[in-house]
Amino acid sequence: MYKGYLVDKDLLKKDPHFRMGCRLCHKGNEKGQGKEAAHQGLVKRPSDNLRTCGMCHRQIADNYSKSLHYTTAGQRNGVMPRFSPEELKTFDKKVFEQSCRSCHASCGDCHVKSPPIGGIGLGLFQRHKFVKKDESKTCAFCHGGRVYPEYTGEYGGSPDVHYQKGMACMDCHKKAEFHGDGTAYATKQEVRDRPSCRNCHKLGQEGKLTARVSHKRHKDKVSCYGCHTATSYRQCQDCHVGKGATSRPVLLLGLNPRDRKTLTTLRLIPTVRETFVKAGIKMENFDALPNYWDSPVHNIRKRTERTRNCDVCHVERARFLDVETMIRGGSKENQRLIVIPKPINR
Amino acid sequence: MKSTVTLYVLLFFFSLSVAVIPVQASSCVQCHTSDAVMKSLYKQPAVTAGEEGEG
Repeated sequence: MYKGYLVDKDLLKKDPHFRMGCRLCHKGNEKGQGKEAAHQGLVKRPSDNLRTCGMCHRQIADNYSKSLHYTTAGQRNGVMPRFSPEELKTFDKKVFEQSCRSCHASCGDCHVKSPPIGGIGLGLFQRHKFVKKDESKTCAFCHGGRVYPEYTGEYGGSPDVHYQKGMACMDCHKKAEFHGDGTAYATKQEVRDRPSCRNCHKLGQEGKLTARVSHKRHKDKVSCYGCHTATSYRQCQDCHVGKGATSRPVLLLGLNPRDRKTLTTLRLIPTVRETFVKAGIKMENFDALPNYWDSPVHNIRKRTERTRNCDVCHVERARFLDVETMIRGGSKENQRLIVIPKPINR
Repeated sequence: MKSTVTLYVLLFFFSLSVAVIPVQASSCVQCHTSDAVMKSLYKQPAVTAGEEGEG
């Protein structure tokens, strides 16, 4: 779409980013006549080099160089326990640096131009305006496979209640989560000040007695998502096998693999035993991790089938992970996520 | 008299500085602000299958 490359002439006069000319960031040859000549030495994505933005936004660029959006360390550290020390070296060299790291977001991906996904991109936001935020583009382009369509209801079912009330990504996720706070975190679970339902919804302040009692009973045993995730969400399979991914909507409940004591919503992690075979990695410790991670599903409703009726979980065990619904040929650890809810004394 | 000369000198340098703002003379600006030129230069990208947003 050619409009994605159009620049607003009026912006050039108003926005100080353009005061020093295009070359400052994009290099190339401003005096070149014709596309080929003008694009000689062109830097398409100037902010891939953080020093470009860091010339003026030094503190932000410094912090960002350590943030998970830039380092993508979470991807590496999430799968790392499956590898032997030798395999990890191969992974770093052949997979992480060449594949996973290419997914990092540059400053421009969020503030100037949407990154192409599958070769398709919307191009410049608002004709090269440097936008502070535009979540439907900046967040949804990369997080448009699962999180964003679940949030807006585009994936099916109903939208998240927060979306219906007009809340966008940055109403819960704060700027420091994206820009980083100067700490090089290994995983997103370590990040300080992550969003929490309890930041707004304080325990004990519920309007209804039933809600107060229910929250008190399930405190530290069931996550908020466990009861308040409304609809089935995307579970991806067969990715990373080289045959293309398939996905289907499933709401799945089981033990949080990170603490083994909280019931929560689980999402299938599409790493299978053969995923890295082409890179010469067998994953000697494949069974060290389950195939499911706890998932903060972005499809919250006040009332769901589980909040309406205790029997849905305590009698029917609806949507609970079990041997039959489990991925075939998966990790042995998957079985440890199965939960049998206690019967209710009536 | 002295202040008038100073003013003219300042005005001269100001006009020079305006004239050499790179954005004004740039061929980048000429093409990238023209709807017609961009339309004529645009090439459809190759679409790769099987990818979509992560996370």
